[in-house]
Amino acid sequence: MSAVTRGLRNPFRTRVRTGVVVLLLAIIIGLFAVMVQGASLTRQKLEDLQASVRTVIELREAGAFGTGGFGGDRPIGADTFSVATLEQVRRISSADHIARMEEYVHTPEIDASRPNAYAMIIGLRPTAPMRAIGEVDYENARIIAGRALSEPDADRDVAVVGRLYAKERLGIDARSETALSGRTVALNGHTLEVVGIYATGNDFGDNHVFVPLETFRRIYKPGDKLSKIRVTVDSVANVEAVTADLKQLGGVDAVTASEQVSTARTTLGSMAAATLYASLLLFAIGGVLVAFVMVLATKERVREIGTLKAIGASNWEIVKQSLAEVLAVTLLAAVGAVLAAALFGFALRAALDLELRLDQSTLLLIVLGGFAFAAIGSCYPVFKGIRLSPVQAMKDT
Amino acid sequence: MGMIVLGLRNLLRNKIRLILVAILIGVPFFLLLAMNAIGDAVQRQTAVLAKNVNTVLQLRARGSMGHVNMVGQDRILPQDVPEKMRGIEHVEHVEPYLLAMAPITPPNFVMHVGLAPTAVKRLESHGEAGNPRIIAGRDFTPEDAGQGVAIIGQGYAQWAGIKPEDMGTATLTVDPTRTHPVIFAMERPTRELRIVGMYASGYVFGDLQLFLPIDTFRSIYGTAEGISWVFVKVDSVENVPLVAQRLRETVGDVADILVPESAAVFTATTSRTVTQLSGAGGLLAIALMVIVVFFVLLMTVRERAREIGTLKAIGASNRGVTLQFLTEAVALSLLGGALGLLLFRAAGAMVTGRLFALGIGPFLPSHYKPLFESLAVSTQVSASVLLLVLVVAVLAAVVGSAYGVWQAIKLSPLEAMKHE
Repeated sequence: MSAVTRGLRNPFRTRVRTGVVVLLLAIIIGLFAVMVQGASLTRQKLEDLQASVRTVIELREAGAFGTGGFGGDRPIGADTFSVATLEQVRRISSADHIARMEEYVHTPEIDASRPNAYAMIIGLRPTAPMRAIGEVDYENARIIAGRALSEPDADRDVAVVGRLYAKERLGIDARSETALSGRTVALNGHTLEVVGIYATGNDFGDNHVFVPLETFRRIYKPGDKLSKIRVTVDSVANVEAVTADLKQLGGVDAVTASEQVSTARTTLGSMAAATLYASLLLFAIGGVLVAFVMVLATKERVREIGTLKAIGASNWEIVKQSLAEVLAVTLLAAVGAVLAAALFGFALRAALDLELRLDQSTLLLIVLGGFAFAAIGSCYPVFKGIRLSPVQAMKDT
Repeated sequence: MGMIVLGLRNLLRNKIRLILVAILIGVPFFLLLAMNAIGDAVQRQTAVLAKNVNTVLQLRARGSMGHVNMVGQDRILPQDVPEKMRGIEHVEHVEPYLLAMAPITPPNFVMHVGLAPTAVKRLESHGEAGNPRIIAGRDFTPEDAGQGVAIIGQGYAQWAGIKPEDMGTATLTVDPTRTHPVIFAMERPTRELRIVGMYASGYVFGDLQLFLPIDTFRSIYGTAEGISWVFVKVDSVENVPLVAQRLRETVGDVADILVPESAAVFTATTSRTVTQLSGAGGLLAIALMVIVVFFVLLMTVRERAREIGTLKAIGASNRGVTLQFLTEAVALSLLGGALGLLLFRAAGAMVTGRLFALGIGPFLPSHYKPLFESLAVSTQVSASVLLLVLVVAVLAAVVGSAYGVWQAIKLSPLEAMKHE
């Protein structure tokens, strides 16, 4: 019988002891797998937060409110803030961190005879978020009738109007099922089909008309001029660096809520660091535990090593046999670990409503790590045994 | 008593085994304390995030920008709105502002903002961007309330010919009769304000504001009552939707309420998951400690079945054997616990702080490096946590040991001595 076969069969020789060792390893490996999976899920959640919280930078023509001016205003950036600015933004040194850009062009529609005199006409890419004036880092506009603009609407004569605008200026009741059938809005002498009504919950925010950017350009002829560009950064960790680069652009105001960005960056970054640290700590400590369990479980095998040496086994054969035994025990433990992980996952789901499913890569990582640490742990008694003479080893228990 | 002493002395009989077992118990104990400290640090950071990001709501009169002299946009909130809001649960503070526009050349406008001297200086174009940096002169103090003083943005100051070195002596005349295509004249006398400070916001439009005490604003523009804007700070992002709902019920008939609701809900939900996950890490660490302690004691007792047989053969009672082994188990778990605690107190700060940053930092993106220092994982352990963990560990040790002893004492002395 070869040393490897002997090693693979050895765990089944003393079933109770092997059972205890395998159970202990299975629970440790299973628990660590769940913990590492938990740390990985935490990291994913934090990345979601970092990619979503306070990541929008608003660019406007320098010195302007960014709503298309109030009657002939000439802010400093009036002549320079345009489609060309988009290209300048793409060339900043931290451009790699820009996740997306959305350009908007505004013009007020003032009717002093109405209580809500200032309606805002906003041109945007059809799939860009409909952000009402005052909303910078979020958008609350929800379609309450009809539909939103979509890609095929680019350059079409269509519009989505706010609830208040629809009611006060078009006489449309958004609650009616036929509210939009054949309804139109006249903008600067052009007739546009109203395809949807949105609501933000606020009168001021619901007094806008969103139209496709190319349609806006055709109707109002602003040339290349833009009112706002919203730059979304890939992570809040990079917002300050991107903002600093954007502030170097001439004729551009780059606006963020800097205190909130700083808080979000620091807190989320610290949490991500803590999670990363916890993952590494878990892996290291799991390894130490597995190694020590194996030291404890195999140290009494020194006598057996002496016997093997007495019957002529070479040191290499003893090491091979030991490694084969560790492999057998680890594989058995891995099967148990899957069950243990499922059990702990179920307990967490029941207790904390947390969905922790063990993925294959985590399990593979933990099992391979478990085998490596178990092999290290079993090396101590093996090397101790093979250094002794057969007689000393057989006496040394 | 004799068996207890024997149990304690037995610990020292095989020093290598003692060290191995103490380490086996101490390591999960250390892990538990470390996970607890990391969980605490994560929860502290989550609390800071939940308290400070996406927790500010803005209110204006319905459909209006709330500028007291803007054509068609001069509706403002009733005077009693802030007081009504202060009574809402989870509202931390309420800050009222009054705003007016003033024309400048080339054609553009600046904003005059009345506020309580200690309130956050909010920028018209981005209310959440607050407290721009004072670059010359001084900030407001509570004594400035009602005084003819102002803090000016550097862009506005440049237009008005005011230099940073003139702070405290420079003056600016506010003339409510001046007009612009969207600014109507208010028949009020001009008022000279002493400029005590200059600020910089980091962008041109943000630097075109003048902050003045709200009572001074009222006397200049004749706005005895009413509020242009109110900013409401909610105590936690978790409560933003609830406060928004209460505000709609309380003042929704007169106010537009700008709420970062979707962002707040996302932040709250995801932060809650992160907190739950860090809590789950702590629970799993406790489970791990219990299981390791139980099995380690079970294994060490099983190895000594022959010794139990010998003790029985020389006349030791089952009770005596159990007492001896349980004493050993309690002492071992206490020793392991003490080792884990010592490790944590001695190396916890180093491992969680600088050593980790130095060891792992170079492999991480640059922005992570300073964060390890702000991670602030504390190596302080509260007495209640320590006591709870020790009690749980001792219980696990006693149960593991008792189970092993129970199995061994069921055997006859001869069987036990044969048992490996």
